[in-house]
Amino acid sequence: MGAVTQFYCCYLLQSVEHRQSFYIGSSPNPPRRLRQHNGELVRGGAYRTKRKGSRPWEMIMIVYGFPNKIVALQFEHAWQHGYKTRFIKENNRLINKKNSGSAGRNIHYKLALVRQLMNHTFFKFMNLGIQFFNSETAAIFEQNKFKIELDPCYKEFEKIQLSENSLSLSDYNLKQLTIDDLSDISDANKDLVTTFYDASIELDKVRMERYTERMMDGSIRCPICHDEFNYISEDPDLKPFVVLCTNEDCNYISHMSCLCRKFIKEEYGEGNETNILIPRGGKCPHCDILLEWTILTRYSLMLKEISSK
Amino acid sequence: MDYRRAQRNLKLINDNNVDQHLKSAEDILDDIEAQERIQGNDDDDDDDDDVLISTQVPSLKFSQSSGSSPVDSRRTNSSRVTSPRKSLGLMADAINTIHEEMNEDSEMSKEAVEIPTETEVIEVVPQGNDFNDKQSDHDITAREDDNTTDIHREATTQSGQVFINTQIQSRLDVINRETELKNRLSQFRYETEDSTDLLPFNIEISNGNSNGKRVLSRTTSINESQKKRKRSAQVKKNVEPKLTRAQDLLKKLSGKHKKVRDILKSQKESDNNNKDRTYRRATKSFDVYNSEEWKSISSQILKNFPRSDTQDVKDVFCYLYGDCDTADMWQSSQRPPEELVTEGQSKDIQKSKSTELLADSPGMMKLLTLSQVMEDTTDQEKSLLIVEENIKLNSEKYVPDENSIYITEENKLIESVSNESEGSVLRENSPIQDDPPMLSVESNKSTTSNENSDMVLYDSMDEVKLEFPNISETDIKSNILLNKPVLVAPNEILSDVEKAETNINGDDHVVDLTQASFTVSNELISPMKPDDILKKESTPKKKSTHTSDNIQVPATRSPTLVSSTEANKPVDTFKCGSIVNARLSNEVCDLIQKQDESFKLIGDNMKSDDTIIYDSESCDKIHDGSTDISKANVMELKYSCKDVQMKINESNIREPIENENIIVSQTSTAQEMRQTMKSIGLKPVRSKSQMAESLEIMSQTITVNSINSIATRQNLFDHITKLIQGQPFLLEQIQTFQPILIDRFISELIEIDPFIEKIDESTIQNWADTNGVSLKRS
Repeated sequence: MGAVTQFYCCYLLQSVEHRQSFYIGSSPNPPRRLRQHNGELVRGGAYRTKRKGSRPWEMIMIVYGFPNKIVALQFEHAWQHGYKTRFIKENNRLINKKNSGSAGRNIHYKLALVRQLMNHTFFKFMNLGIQFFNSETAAIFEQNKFKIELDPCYKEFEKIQLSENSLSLSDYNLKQLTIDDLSDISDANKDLVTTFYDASIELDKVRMERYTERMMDGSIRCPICHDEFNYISEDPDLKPFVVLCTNEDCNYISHMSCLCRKFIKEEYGEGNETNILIPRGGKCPHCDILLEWTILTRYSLMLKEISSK
Repeated sequence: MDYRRAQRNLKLINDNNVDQHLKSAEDILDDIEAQERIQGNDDDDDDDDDVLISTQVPSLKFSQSSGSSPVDSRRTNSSRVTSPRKSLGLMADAINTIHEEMNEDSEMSKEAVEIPTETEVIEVVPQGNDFNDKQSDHDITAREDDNTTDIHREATTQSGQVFINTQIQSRLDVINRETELKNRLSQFRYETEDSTDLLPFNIEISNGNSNGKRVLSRTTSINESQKKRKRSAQVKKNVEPKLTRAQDLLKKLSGKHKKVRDILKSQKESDNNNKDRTYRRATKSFDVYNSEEWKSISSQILKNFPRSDTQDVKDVFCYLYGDCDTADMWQSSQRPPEELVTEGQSKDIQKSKSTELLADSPGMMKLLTLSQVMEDTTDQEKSLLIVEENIKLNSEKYVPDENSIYITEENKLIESVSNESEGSVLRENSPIQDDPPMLSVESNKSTTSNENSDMVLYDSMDEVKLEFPNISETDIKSNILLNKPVLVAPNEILSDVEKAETNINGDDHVVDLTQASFTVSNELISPMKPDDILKKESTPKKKSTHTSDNIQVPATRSPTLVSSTEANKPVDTFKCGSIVNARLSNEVCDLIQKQDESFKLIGDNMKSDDTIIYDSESCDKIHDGSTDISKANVMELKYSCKDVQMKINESNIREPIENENIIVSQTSTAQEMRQTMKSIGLKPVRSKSQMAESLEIMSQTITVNSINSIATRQNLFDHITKLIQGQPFLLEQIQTFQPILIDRFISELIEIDPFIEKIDESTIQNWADTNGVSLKRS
């Protein structure tokens, strides 16, 4: 249970000076990791980004929403090795060789890989999100040079976002960047990443506080199966996985399994529920807002972890 | 290669050294003569002394050569002459040293003695056959030979001799031995045939068959063959000592006695094994062969005895089995009983009717196949038969039945066949004995009066299996004394006319196929594979083991239309219906049509679960002709090589071929199966059986709803998903995206369903990817 991860993401770094230099990594704490890459933090390995002239690095985008480290690492590996990953069918691979020259090193390919990976069934279950910190990168993503359409569910859940006050290096003269420019860009990018990360962590914290309060009510009846559960009691049988609505104004709470079946039925229709294990999400039965299953289960796990302590 | 290399070396050495070291023979002679002339007769005493010394103390010979006496000059000559031999090379030196060790004394003495008379020695050299003599003489010849090419030739032959002795000679010995063996084998003509015949004949004799002449003649033939074999064995003994020289030579040259011994031992063992094999074959009992098998047998005989031609084989065959006009024995056995066709069948039937009062009992039923003709009834059996007949007479409850008419008819058929081609049945026997008989009749018979005698004739293309099960326990009690199956002699059953016919046969006393019991081939399985029937029919066999007996009969020699016994007989516990097999020739079909009556009777007498199986299309018309048969359960079988089509007219017949569980994998090749397994995602296995097992388990586990009934990977995934649905703990873990160790996950699935073990791990991973399940490896 201790493996519950609040935040885990994969990120794409781009060298500010050498714009053709990229780095793909993953981290539960992207601001800290960015500082490591840029040499601000000595501890923590950043060998590949240490090369002279490549620093500072700009974190142009992150893919977040991974339910655990394993999935994040799988995504990272697949993103790094788009020419051989099992998540992209051989026929659909844009590059089939490791050393394919500049084709594998440009931003268009990197972003196209993200589209391909996010279209895979496995990652679709994760309801991943993309946060762009650089407007030009977002534009390239939208440009979609390789014509890979992203699954509509991402739009439905509004998972592709561009940060406010995102950087645009077009404001700078890239050929003659001064040290001040570099530090400005680096700081601005770091702020964007930190803001996003902090907001995410803060949101989780607020929700968890609310959920914990809700659970303190004692015995609660599941609106679907009408069975009672009680997270206050010592009886572990009365502490099943429960899910709560993410809406602040909604107090909906039910068994995770009950809502899961409900969502699957709603998503895949009656009769098909036996072949589906995980829903992508659904509307709250109470407040009717769209709920993401990955987020619900993440809080559910955290609640269970708290209750078991 | 070694030989050539040695030749090359010798040539080289000779070119360089020989001329320098050798003097021509003429020079040598001149020298000797000159020295003799110079020294005159003064040295006679010394010469004698020298000879004495050299013969008695050879080692001292060279120590004295430093002197300047004429003897010394001769010695220098001799040393000069022998020098080229030593310069011939290492190989020659080695051999020479060996021979010097072996024949040192003789060689030295010869040198000493023969040197003065070298011309004589030269004459002796070519005649020397002994190896050692050759060696020693050869050296001396070199002294006289002036021509270097001649020396070279001698040298090469010498070196060649070395290699022939060690390598080539051994091979030559082997070849010689083979030729000798072949020559000896040629003396064994017909030996295996005779030896294989021994056992069956002995059995016949022990059976106490009163047949005289032919049996006697065969015993004499056996004796002849035995004598022949003894003779040949003696010849073999005489031949064997010739090998000893080669053995000795091999031993001497190789120096590895143990190795040589092992080789000889293994050779002897292999020879013994070959002998044993032939005898082992002989111990097997005889059998019936079809045409193809007989062809292979005859071809094999011809192969084994290349000197004999087909006529010889035929002669032997005719000698063994009587005169045979037809070239192919099998064809003659396939002939329909012409007598039956031509003669009035009804007459026979009517005549037999009177006798059928006796023969009516179901106990007779068991004999009414070709197996009846087996006349190996011993005296004991005959006495038992008499007892049996008494029982039959005493039990007056038996009513003459039309069925029995049929039975006698069949008897006659059998008799006619046996009369017609008594010698044409290949009783057995040739090296190929392991093959199951093409036709077999298993009869579980007893001579009891009360018997249900359900018969099943399983028809296949060439295979028929007859079973005569069903003996009630009371019957077993009544016949508890019978240790052997009692065969009712045809003479006791048939009418007078038929008796006369059989007497002709009986006088002949031909011991043939029909007179001895057949071995039963348990492996014989009809392509129909009516396992259900067989199982049920086999149960009574187990129950009445002391009376059960299996008789094989070539079914084509008997009318294969057999009916069950009377309907009024008490149906015992094992009634499962008699399936009457009809594999009939056209003539017989016509005959059947003419004899509608008998078939009507069959139909009447048949129980409700009796069945007639026709496999001959020509017999289909019988269905129309006989209304009674239409009442009976008729099963029509038509075979083709690939598929089996069955038309079952009534539902109460047990369907022998109703295998819904036939898996596609059984018919597909290993490659196809591997492909299927790969496409589905099962663990790759090596053997076809394992693949079939995996696919079989999968087909049983996974329910396929699609019309094609081909399991796909999606079906497999659905199966795993459903398994997970039944496991709340696993489901919770999956729903909360907790990473699961793949090994633990698979093991848990295997606990739920062992079939998961057959699924490849990559398939599980694939399933996890498809269903959003995060699995981790560590």
